[in-house]
Amino acid sequence: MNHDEWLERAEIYAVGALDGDELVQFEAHLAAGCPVCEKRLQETRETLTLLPHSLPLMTPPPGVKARLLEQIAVESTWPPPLQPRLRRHWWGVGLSALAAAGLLIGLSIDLYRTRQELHRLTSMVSTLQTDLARREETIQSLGANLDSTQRQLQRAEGEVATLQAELAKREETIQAERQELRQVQGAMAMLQSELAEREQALRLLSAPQVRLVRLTGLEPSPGAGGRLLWNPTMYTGVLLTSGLPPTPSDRIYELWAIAGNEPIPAGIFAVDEGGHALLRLPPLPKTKRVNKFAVTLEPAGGVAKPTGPMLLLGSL
Amino acid sequence: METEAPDNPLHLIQRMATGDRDAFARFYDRYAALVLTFATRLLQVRADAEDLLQEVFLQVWRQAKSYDQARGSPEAWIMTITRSRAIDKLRSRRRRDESAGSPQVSSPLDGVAKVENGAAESEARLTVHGALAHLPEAQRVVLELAYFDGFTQAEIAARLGEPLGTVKTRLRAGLERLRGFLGVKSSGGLL
Repeated sequence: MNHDEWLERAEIYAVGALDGDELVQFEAHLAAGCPVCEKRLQETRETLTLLPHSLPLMTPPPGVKARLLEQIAVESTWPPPLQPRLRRHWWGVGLSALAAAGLLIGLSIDLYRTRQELHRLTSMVSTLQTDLARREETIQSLGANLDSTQRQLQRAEGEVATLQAELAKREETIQAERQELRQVQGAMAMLQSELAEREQALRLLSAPQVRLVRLTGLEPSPGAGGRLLWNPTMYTGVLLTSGLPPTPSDRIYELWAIAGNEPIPAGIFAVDEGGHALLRLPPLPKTKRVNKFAVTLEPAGGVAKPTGPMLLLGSL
Repeated sequence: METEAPDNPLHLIQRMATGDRDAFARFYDRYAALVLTFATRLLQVRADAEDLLQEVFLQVWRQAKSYDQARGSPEAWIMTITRSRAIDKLRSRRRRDESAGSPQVSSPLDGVAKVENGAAESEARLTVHGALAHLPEAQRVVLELAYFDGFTQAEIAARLGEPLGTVKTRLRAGLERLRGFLGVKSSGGLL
């Protein structure tokens, strides 16, 4: 190829219009080292760069200069890491034209790769930004959901607290009612057992063969007295007392059924303030021929044989 | 060629290379309007051009150390930075538009050659404008499609419905004519 053709390409290359195979070939030619083409390229660039002067001149906005000065002031303190790489631009290669031409291709490729890399990074950043924006949106909407969920939860918690308080109150009431119920049941049981006792006493006393035994007060309480309703068929009875002195806490009255000279324990009892008592006798052994009844003051819990003073005595 | 005048751009670049922010401010004052004008023509969108203006001057500051005057004038340097960054944006914008199925934005070629006859216009600018204004329409159109709109020779041929060879010829003829108006010979140095 005639070298003039390379020079023609150099001019079109300088205008930026060379393309396709011609571009690839010309760059290879430059890379191989052609000072003549380099020179033509440079001259054409100088010619072309005066073209902007033909345009109506514009005035830059005043803020740009201030911003730039600010930015370079910052960069003077912290040089950007990109600087060493950018410095390898073709313009800065101050070597012989031959070596420079060789470097040019390498650096062009380097620059191309840097641009590719930059492009890739830029699109990556833009993807990440989009992604980030989407995530932020999601987080915001989740946040809004969370807010309303939290509000609902708070409302629900409030309701639960109210319900719990109410429940506690109801449990308290139920507890009190149960307590009352237990008391009522206890009272009822007492009344029932009392009633049963009275019915039994009544049955015992309403039998035609029942006999009345009068017990008279002895010293030390002659004013005391008792009546014993004795059912000889069932061999048991009921004792009613009056005027007996109150017992000390370690003492109790004991009734004895006396068969001849043998006293048989027939129950223990305490008296109220009036000296009254009602004692239902246990069924006594029918083998014994009971003919007397007596009341003695004995140690609490009762004894098998009388040990204390006798206060009442009566005969069948 | 290199003078010690405080606002000589070569001197400013050397001072920027040592971290002199005052030199940066002066360099900005000297080229910002031109860069913005060029960027606006390239990108067609004022806001994008203002962003580009910042990017370009940041790059200037960062690469001042590696500037080599043997490889081009300061103005060629900053215009090359401006154009190559703008063309990158322009091409990726076109790829986006194409993949989105929208029609390509045709460049407002008719509005380009207007001149603002302000008092501050330099001799060089008037000369270049004169040169552009005196280019034959066919040459001016292909040059602007390539240099300002970032189309390759094949793309220009397709847009204009002309053979590729014709586009090449017009491009080179236009350049030759520009060089003639500027007094730059194809074999001689500009600086």
